[in-house]
Amino acid sequence: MDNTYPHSRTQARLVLARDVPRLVAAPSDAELVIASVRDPDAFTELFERHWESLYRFCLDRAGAGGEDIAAEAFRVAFDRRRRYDGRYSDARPWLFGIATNLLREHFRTARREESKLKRSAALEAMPPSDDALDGLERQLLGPHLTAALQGMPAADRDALLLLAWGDLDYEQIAAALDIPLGTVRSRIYRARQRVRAYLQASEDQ
Amino acid sequence: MSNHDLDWLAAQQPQRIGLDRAARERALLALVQHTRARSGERGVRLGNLFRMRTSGFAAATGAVAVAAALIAAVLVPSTAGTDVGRPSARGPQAVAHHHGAVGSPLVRLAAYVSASPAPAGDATLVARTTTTNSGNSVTVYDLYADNGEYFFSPTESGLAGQVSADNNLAGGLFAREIAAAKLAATGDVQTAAQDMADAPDPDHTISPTQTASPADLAAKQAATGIAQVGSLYDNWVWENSQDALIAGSGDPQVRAGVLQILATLPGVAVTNGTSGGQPTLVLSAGSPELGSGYTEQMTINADTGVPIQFVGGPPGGVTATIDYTVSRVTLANLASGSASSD
Repeated sequence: MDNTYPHSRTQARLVLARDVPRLVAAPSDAELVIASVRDPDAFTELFERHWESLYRFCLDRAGAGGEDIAAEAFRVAFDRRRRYDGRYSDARPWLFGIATNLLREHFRTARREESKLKRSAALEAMPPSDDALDGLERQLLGPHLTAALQGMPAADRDALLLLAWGDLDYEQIAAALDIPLGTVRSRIYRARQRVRAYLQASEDQ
Repeated sequence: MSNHDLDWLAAQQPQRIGLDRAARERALLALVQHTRARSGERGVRLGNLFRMRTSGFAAATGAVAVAAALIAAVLVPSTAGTDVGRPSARGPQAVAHHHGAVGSPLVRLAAYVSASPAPAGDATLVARTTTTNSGNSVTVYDLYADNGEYFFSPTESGLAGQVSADNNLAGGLFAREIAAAKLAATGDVQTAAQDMADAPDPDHTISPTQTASPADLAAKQAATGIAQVGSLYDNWVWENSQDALIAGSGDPQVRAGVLQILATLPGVAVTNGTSGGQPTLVLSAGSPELGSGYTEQMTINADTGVPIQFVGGPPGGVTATIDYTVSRVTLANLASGSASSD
């Protein structure tokens, strides 16, 4: 029965106290994450379910580097499994949120490196900004997407690409980015306005 | 707004042919290695431990009387075995029926508890008895050393072996929660409450957010079908405070700090009660802490703040009850008791 284990942090106790059903033929993502607190092997089932979609998303955003980012996302998720909110049966927003943060850090690192090179070459001394598309990201996105997404705040870009490429809905994006639903709506609205303006300008030319 | 922009974005998505199975295998292998390494950091494989302890409990139940007698002999040197659940003098006798606020019964009790003398011994022994709706119950033993070490045993007699083998399972567990409680006891309660919220993952701060109204929570619950927590911050302060209260139950400064922090929560109601002849305060979390579909109550001694019982479940029902019996012991006596029993 429960509680025949050492005193662990609250999140597990909170969820266990809710009498989450024992694993059956098709446990929910939440049940797998909760089970993994006591049985880490349960986490591999979560991997089996969501590797493909997360891998594709990371690959789309980061190219070949996406493989390492997707793999790292699962390792980070495992380390944070005690904090998983067991009320959300679908773990995709949680996993995509972690991956999005890792992608942001990945591009930030690339931007720093690019900036260092530029400074050393005395070509440019602009401080790196999260919102700017760096060379790596521009290369991955291609000229059209770069033009459409250039100048857009990184937070807006993340929300838009989670919608368009990650197949998350607005509520899932809110959960993934840990922001209110209204903020998601406004970010995506702004981002779509920019894309539409770019498309309109392209048509006019 | 038409979706031609989203259609265009989808069309720009890089086309990938098939799934790279080798990449999947690499990632899965890395994950498995990581999960085992992380479990090893705590000195245990949780899954294995769980299975082992379950069977160990079944085997141990027949020897409970013998084990209890043995551990009693081990645990009662001059400074050990002190039952911290019962005060030597009457406490503040808080008259309570109160939601968290300055001047609440919790604040008054915290002031009283913080003036208590330093406890004897160097570790707190908590006997933890879980009882389910079906009436089954099991008692396990947590030993929280003042130096941050933590030992566990499904039997009281097994603790001696855990200590002498230095099978410390803490890995920093609850250290930040206890530090936050001690900070609160010195006066900076708001900072301490934030530390308490962030204790499990200090790299990620949980902002104190505006609590949603009960109507908003109910509407969202109706729409999503899941109970809503009013405030993540309040939820984590409430839950982490309970961990600190239990792990630091032998230290009056920790108990006082936890009480100070809990008094800041908007939904915590406090009522008077009695349990086994002890005056109690029953702390009930409200919708800001737990939403509307789930309740928790922590019962503490009204004079000492020592935890007595935790109850959780849906409103009007109880899923599990956990009873705590707290005493102070000394690690050296535990370890030497193990050696002498060999």
